[in-house]
Amino acid sequence: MAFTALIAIVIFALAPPLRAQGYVDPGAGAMLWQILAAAFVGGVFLFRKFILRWFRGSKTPRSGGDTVENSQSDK
Amino acid sequence: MTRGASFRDPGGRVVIRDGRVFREVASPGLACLDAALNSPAVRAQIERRRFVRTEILARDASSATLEHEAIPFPSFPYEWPPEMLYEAGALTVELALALAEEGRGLKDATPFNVLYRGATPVFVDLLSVEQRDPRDPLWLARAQFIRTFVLPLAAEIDFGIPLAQSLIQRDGIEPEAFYRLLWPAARLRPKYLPLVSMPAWLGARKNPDDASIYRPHQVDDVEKSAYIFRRGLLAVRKALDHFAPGGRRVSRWSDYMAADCSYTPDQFSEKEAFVAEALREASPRRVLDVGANTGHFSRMAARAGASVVAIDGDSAVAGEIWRQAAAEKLDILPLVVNLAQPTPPTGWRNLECPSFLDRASSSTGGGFDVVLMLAVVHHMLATERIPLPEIVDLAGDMTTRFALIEFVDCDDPMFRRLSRGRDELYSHFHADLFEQCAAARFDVVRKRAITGSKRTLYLLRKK
Repeated sequence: MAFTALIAIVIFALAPPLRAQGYVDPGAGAMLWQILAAAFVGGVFLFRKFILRWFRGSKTPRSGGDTVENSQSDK
Repeated sequence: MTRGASFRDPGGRVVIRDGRVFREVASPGLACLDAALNSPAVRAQIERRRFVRTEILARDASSATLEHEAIPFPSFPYEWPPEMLYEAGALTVELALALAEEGRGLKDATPFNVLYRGATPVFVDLLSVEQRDPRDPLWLARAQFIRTFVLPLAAEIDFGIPLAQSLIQRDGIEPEAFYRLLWPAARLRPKYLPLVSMPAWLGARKNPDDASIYRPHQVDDVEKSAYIFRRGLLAVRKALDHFAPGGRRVSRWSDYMAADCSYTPDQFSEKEAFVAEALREASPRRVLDVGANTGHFSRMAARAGASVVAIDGDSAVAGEIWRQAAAEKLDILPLVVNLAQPTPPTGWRNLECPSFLDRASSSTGGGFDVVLMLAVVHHMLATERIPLPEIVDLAGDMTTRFALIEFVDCDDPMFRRLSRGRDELYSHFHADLFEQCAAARFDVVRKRAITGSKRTLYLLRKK
């Protein structure tokens, strides 16, 4: 996967110069990049949430008791 | 005198009337006004004097009239050294991060939203604050921040392209333009890939008629949206930090005071004593230091209680002045301005950002109590070929009371170095000629020839 990404980047880098004529929306590239980055960070958020939930789940006592956090807040 | 200073935002416009700054807010701007006035983050920055103080003069259902505190001697990003652009960018991101915690944001992100009070940045665009859609994870102003803060900094730090060139166009540097500066291998460097190369590649392949990317992008989970938005701001902050001007920068003039100084220690002490006495006598509120170099005499004036504007054509020395003024909390505004080619007026009808001379002239309400021109006149004569009477006349236009001028005789070694073999052109440049020229605008209060040198200091009073 990383190798494919690297190849793609190299191809982009060696590509012919950018279009010199015609209207190019000046903010479009940056916006598209922000959308891609946001999608990646969103994935990180979900993964992190999943890991945290799994970690908390494995720490929860099997029978009847509250977590430490809950039992403190009940006092 | 009334002039419009800002009118691009349909939410309101700024008008400057007799030195007072008013903002007329129209109906579309009222929501932003409320967002700013109700924001604890804005109040915190006002307390730190880093957000413009504002008073509501009138308000009804469809409009409002505000008065902002006037920031003395407004300066523009194309006059700043990179240190000041970086600091203004850091303030913008800090504000955006604090606003994000409250569900608010900045709808634009340009250095023209920031002015400097001395060495301290002040965010002045109240209507830039808006209530955010909590489900939208994107910062629409991110691209503008990159174009107007990060890439101009990168261009100056990595390529030596001054901010005076990159920011004279309001919208900074497009990634596509920066891309062409980079060698193919450099385009893959981690600091350029997300800021320059990816946007340039993606932008070149996008259909310019497709505006769908600018529509609000909503995610279902508010917590996820907030996380993405905050990570995006932190990434922008990291990008800015990549190009932070680190430490002291070196230039042709940065070591002048330390290594290339034209004075012995005793001669320099004589000069310092003369300047100190002149400052005591004038007790100026406002001082302009022309050709300030690393700001030794600007700091003297600031410590004496003056508000100082220190100009030098060399960005590295202006950056050093800012660094020291910020560290010592001195009221010094350093600007990269060459008085022989001062900043022109810019913007719509050349009225949005007035020229340096317009702001500095005593006839337009600017002006300084004292203008310092220490060891700079010979540079203007020999390097810039400005006639001596013109230089004296300009000093007379910019001061309301005094000028403190150091005249360097044509036989001085530095003058000879600057004249580059054209000695015969300047062979009549002696102190008596200077006194003749100065008499047109000034009376000589006091003068002192520095012992063992070809230099004379004059304290002049404007006629």
